[in-house]
Amino acid sequence: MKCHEINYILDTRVPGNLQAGQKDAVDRHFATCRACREAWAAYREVSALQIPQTPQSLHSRIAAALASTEAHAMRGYLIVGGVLAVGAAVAAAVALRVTDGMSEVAQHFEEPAPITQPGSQARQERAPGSTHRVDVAASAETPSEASDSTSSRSEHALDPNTIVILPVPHPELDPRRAALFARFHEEILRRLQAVPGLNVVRPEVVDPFLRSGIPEEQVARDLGAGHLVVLSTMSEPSAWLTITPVDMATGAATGSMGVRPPFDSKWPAELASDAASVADFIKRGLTQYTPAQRQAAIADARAVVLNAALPATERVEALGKLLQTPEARTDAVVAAAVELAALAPELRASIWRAMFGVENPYLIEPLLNTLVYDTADHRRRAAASALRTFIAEPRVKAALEQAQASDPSQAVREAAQQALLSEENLDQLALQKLLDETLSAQERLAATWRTTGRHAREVPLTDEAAWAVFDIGARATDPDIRGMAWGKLGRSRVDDQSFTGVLLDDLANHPSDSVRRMAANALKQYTDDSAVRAGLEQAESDPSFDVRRAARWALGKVP
Amino acid sequence: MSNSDTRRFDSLIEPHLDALFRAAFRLARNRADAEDLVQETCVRACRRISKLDESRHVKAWLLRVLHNVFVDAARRARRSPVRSLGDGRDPVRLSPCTDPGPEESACTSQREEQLQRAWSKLDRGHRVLLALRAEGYGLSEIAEFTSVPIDALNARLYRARQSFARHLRDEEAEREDVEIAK
Repeated sequence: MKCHEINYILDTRVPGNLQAGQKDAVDRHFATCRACREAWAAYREVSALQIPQTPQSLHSRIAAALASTEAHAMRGYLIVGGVLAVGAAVAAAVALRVTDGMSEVAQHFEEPAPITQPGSQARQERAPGSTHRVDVAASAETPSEASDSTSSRSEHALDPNTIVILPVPHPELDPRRAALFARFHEEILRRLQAVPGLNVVRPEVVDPFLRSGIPEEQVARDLGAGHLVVLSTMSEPSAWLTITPVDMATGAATGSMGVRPPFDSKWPAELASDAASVADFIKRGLTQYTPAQRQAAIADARAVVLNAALPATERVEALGKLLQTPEARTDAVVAAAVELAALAPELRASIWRAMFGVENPYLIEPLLNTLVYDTADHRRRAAASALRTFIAEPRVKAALEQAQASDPSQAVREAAQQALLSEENLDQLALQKLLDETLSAQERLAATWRTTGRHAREVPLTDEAAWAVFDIGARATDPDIRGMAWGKLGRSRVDDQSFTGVLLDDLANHPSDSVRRMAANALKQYTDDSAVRAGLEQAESDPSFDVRRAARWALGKVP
Repeated sequence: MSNSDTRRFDSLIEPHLDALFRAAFRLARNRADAEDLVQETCVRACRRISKLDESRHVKAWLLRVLHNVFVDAARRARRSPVRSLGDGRDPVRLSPCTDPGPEESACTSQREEQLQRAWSKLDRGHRVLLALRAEGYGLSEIAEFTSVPIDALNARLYRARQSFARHLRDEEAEREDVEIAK
């Protein structure tokens, strides 16, 4: 017998109660396998522990701890309202996009993140076809039984601390990219599994339900998940990934995030960093911190940033989180960032992007050094963007002008030019690019995002620009471009009835899920039109969850 | 906690304190850390107590919370400048029993010290599996507490034992080196 078989026997049978054949097999194995013999001897020795009686004081100690926790929670509750108000104010469109082929992220908060209610207890779940219970109690439902018993299931409260994160459904992806998407999905799961109190339903539990063809929202409901996160892609070759967390209690998306991980590069640090951004984004949608928790999180991140013993990647990740909070941008943190940029050139661009908007003069010198001397285009570009904050300094202005005139990289020259321009001029420049028919459709659409460090914002479309976007979408055969164009129209405030014919046709007939979804989004502002309403109502039974949800959102049926 | 929550604590959680403490003691191998672990488990459990369904397996749920607290502690410790007791990665090696009570008097033996050190070097996930197994829980129960698929559990227990034996051998070898040096 092999080692695993012997161990299985010993782990599933009561010692001293082995059948004769089993006992012989174990003895024979131990006689010849030193590793198993020693492993079991060591285990038995460490297990032979004298465990004292439970201390009498333990109960009162716990009661005191609970009383203290309760008082603390009440204090937090009294001030959390103020934080929520601030949260709502800043929950406007936030976007982050980094071009130059590395990493692109865009976020749009459609509404403030919901507050996680105190969780219910762990729910009953069971993987179909398996005897393994994923949570503490068992139910006997298989997928088919689960779908048959929807009505009884729906009576169960959804657990707000349980989350299902769907894998990327894209069977036509080439195997390499599919493997990278799978890895990215795993990385997001791994990071969320580390969140205390959050129950992330494991893929092996979710997959059989999905394979059996049950709609995704029903799967989440059957598993008792209060949250569902949908990862969807457009077609090749863009590899854009859209992350949409959905609150199962209301059916509403709590936001959406676009990310374009560097799947074409072999740069795990960037890949991991993007997965961390996505996990953070999802986590933010689940949790509202009390001021005390927020301070603790800042302190934790600061400790990581300042701890020179930790790996640079970990410190840079914490730096990104820390700099989202203005009061955390202390001299010590900035100094640590500068030190990290010097230590880890491969992360330097990420660091400078994270430092965008940080007005600490200590940054000027290292940024200028990067802009003038660094050999990597994307790092000089990041430095040029970050230097915009210090444009009032004559030497910064001079260096940017120099870079604009003579840097060998066009991307750096453009970044320097943008750093030198005012906001209004930048918007005009972006719209000029959108209208420039000599550029590719993708470049024209991309121009409507204004990148500033780790953040970007969408340039408001004029009527003429909206028509240009519509024209690009209507002519595009590439579903990526078409979807991007409809997405852009959906977020613009331009209302032109001439767009609805093509959008409705795409909503009903386009083979790409992303295009149909974006068309549904874009049709939201035309719901006074009965034909549009009818089209959207029809799309409520679309085979894609994303499209169904977008249609319901456009119709105002979910917030 | 409201009065009704207090009653629920007394009726639902208190009866399982012994089981929690035993498992915690196996994990921490000293009373102070075991008590901390149980306390944190109860604090977390009580956040959900008002929604706790009495028909559910409360003990299994509590042991799962204990497992999460123990494994989370490693993550917190990694990010905290304050060291947590009993992690083999820590640069400073403390005596396993800094404040030995009567129950821990056996810890003073060299062998127990070796066991303690090897145990603290073991991955926390592995420690949980071995401790629960040593406490007499079956594979299906451990799968419930830890969310490790039952199919994978056997292999993990195997690896955990092998890993522990390896750490113990290292400790023994180190001890021999010290003896020779003397």
